[in-house]
Amino acid sequence: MSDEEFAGYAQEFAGTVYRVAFHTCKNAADSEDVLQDVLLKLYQEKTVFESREHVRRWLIRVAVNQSRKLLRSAWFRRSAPLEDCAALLEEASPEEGGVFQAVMDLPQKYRTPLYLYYYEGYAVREVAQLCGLKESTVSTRLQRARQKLKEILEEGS
Amino acid sequence: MEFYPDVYKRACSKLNAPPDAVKEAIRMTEQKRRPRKAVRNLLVTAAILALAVLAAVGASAAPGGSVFTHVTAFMRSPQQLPETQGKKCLVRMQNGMGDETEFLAERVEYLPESNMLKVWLNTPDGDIMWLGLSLDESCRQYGSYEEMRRQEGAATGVGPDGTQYEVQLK
Repeated sequence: MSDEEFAGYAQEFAGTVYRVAFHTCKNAADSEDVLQDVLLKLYQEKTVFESREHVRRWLIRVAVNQSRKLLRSAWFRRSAPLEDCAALLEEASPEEGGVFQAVMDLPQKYRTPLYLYYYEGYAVREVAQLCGLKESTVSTRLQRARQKLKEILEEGS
Repeated sequence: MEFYPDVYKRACSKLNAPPDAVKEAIRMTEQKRRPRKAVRNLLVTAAILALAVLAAVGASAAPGGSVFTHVTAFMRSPQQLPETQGKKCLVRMQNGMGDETEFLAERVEYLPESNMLKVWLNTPDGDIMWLGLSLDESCRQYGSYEEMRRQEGAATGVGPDGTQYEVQLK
């Protein structure tokens, strides 16, 4: 991959990678670290990508793995900062901030499938592939995530 | 209050990667250098891999029949693997997508002429067998160990007397 190609992909998909990481790590600093690690892996990757979508899926998959790895580390478990996640949104309305914070209040295992399904627009089968889960597991998690979100948002209102 | 996906999508679109972080990553790769954090991680990974291979594992750690074959094809620097001499060793590997796996081997030997890793293992019934793990690019088609396991299902190992074993990938 040439430097120009890499720079183009980095600019185009940095937001996606960062958001995937944020949905796992729930804090900006670790998400930035994941972003840099993932971009570096892309730079070093020798796979010949067939399309931009291929690159996007590859990046998401690696971001999911890198974020999980960080989450498993003892360092992260001891030191993960608690942040007001909604405050990191740029010029968000109170409604948007409330919904985003509600998603961030979900258990970690629900957040990434929810993001890939609703924001990135992947089908359940694709979310399952990207997260390394069974389709039935993804379906169940999405269903439970919606239930829990309803409860969280009702409590909030 | 309901969960409205459109509101969530609008909110997510306002969460963006810090431009400085992206610029730094691009700048570092243009200079053929990694970001500082990434360098740290690489060094740690390299150290873990070296230690994992070199460290003798206690006799109480039974290898059972768990064979993670082919995964070595994902390994980045097999040439750095030293031979082990009669001691069990823990081999830990990472593919290019961050998936990790590890297994216990009785002995590991790298065969540079064929670019293969020869791994001796105990079978569940106590016999010794070895697996020749090709370290070429052929297994990079798999996105993860799980994907490879689904498609490959089993690997073939060879005992010292030439007997072939079929080993289920776990």
